[in-house]
Amino acid sequence: MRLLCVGILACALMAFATACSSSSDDGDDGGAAEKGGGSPATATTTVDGPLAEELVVGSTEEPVDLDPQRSENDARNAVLWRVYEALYDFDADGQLVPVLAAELPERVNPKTWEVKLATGVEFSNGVPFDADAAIFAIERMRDPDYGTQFSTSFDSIASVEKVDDSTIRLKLKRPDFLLPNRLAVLKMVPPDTKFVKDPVGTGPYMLESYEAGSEAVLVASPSYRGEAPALKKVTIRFIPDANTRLQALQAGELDLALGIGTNQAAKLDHVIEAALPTATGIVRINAIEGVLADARVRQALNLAIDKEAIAEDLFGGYAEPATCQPAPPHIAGTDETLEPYPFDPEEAKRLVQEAGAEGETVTYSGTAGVFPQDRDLAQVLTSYWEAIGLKVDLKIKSYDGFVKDIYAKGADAPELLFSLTDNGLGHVERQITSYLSDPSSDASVSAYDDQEVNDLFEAAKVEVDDEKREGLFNDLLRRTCDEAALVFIYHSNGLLAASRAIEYTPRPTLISNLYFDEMKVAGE
Amino acid sequence: MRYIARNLAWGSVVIVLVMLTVFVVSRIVSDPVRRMLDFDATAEQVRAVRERLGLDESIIHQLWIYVTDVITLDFGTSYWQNRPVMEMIFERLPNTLVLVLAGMVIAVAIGIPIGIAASLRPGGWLDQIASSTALLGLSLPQFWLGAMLILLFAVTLGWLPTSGKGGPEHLVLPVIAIALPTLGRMVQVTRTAMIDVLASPYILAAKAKGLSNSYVIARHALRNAFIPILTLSAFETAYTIAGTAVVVEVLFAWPGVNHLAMQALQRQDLLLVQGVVLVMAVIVVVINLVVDLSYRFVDPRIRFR
Repeated sequence: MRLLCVGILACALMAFATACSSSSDDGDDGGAAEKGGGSPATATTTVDGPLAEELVVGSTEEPVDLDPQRSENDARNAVLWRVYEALYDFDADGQLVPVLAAELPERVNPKTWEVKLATGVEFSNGVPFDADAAIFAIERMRDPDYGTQFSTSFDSIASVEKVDDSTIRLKLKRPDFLLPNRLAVLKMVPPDTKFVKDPVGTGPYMLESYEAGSEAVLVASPSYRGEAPALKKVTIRFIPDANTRLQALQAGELDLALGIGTNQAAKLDHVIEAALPTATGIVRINAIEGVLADARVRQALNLAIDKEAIAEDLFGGYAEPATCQPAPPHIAGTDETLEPYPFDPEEAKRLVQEAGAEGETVTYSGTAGVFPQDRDLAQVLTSYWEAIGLKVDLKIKSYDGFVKDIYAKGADAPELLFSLTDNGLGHVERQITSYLSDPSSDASVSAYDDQEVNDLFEAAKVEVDDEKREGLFNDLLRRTCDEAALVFIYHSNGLLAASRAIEYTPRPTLISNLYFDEMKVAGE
Repeated sequence: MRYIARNLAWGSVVIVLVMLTVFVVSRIVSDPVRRMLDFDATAEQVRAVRERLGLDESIIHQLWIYVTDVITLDFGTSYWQNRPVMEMIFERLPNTLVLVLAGMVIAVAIGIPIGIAASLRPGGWLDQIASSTALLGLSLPQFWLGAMLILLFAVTLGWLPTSGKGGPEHLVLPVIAIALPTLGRMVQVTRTAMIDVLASPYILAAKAKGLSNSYVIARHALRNAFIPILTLSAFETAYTIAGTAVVVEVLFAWPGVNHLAMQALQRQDLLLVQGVVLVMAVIVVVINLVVDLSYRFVDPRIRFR
């Protein structure tokens, strides 16, 4: 009798639960105008009429600290990106533009760059931004005791000198054509370290309050030299659980949410998509030892997967097939002529047989919840590769497992490891360093060692002529494509979820770098 | 007095053993340094950070440093946020206490009366419903329950906020999620204890004397049934504060100390993990001691050797 009661109650609850969840899964909800459905919205929302002055954003976690120079961290950037500015930044087309500099830097000679600073700029506490402040900020990043996690980025700088109050010179240890790009992440901070506890920047917003574990509130900075932003107040709430964050968005408590996957896009009223891909999904291959050292097998891995289907069905159209290189073609240094490997499982099977690899087992190290739809992708890839005659030993690991795996490089690397690369540096040099360069170099986590590629890379890094350098990078990428150094899967457009109409075009670098001053939010 | 002193001494031994285990195991199992640095960190930088944090020394050496620090009340600085560990913990502890205590009060205030009512007529319809509901309440996974509560009351009906800390309306759903399993157990234990006691001869004697039912229940039965109820309440409170609240805290983005513990574990922030374990061990030991002492007041027959 007791069991019957429990049973009835349980059934009632189950029915209730399914009714609730199916109504929110229903793809035919009203207001489908901006929804992805099968294909992403290609037009950006435009907002006319009265604009809202406040915005509530849901971020994926609390920032570690409020020090903008410490590392590139999504959680911190969600709060501080528009509180602090750097000398340069990337615009909507991915081009470098001056921000706190007056113009693009001048290369005086291969090892010396001159930067002219913008004049009349102040930090929000009234301290002027001048050469002394800029030198302080740069020196702080370079200080080994400070231990910034921007690692090798500023390694090439030997010294910084003041030319006059609004001009500085950077002397380098070796030619570094990417110095301007690197300076785009170097946030300018006031010349005393109190800003770590109380953020003080030159940007359009300042931090009004910060409640540990809960939220941060930004307000428009009155001392900002540019146009006053439409959004006067931005609240960023830290909600680590993805489901809770989504529900808060659906309940209207959040206007904007980060970290919502493309597989949730159908449930959203408004989706803001980056105009250009912001990340590339690749599988790092241990090309040094084992059955994957044979280029034919690696090529087969690339030919076996239907990238179109993955982009359309798995990522809801918010991705496109990877163009056989580890960065999307709008990123500097990439070869715009490269085409994705076609989907040709027959040819893949043939190559596997020719290489004598039929029936061989390869291990795939995947993750669950570290990257968007990583687990689903792992299973999809496994089925494609087993269809061409290979056996795949699928291992799903946690974030810590992934960290261990990614640092196991060279011959020690796991056979196949999925990773997602981003466009933070605005040049494919970063991805090449990480995944395609000589494994013995410090900054590399590569498992691919090709002398020709290494030579091209070294030559490209010191090449002074811009066109010749482009040519060298193109040659490098063509070779790694032919040799199938990696499995190139997809370029993905980051997306932001919104509960009301917001006119905003995310930059093609990191989608969590939120430019609140560029957002137009529909008023009530 | 001697009882208290002995209890505290044993409690301290427990705490020390727990700390030791956590310290040693976490250092064997995890490598927080790689976790902290970016992907393009050089081997040189990894080494530098490891040295700075003292993680390149032997475990014994690290333990010695830690023990000598703790004696001077220095519990270390978090790798994650670069702030004193205890500062971070005590920032969040009140939030967890508010959540758990509110939940326990509700569980007890509702659970005990229902349990009593159920015990009066075992097998009757009230008992059936109460017991089944109790069973359901403590079997439902809290993450599912919490998510359903949010879905119904916050998203669909819009009556309450989905998450976060704020005014009293923010407490409602998390407290319900915390309270429900305990409520289920309270009903069961109260019911069982009461049934046991109500079957005793002295209850029959009291009723034969002509005392009213409610008087018998309140004055005789309940007081005698109280010890298991008290034990359970204390146990539930201690273990919810010290750990099981993590599900609700994470789901509702409640800035409590369990949420902090989870984040510390994810980031392998070893010193923060140890700090949290220490605080929680102390809380559990203290609650157990207080409850032990209170038995004396509930049942004067209990003497302490």
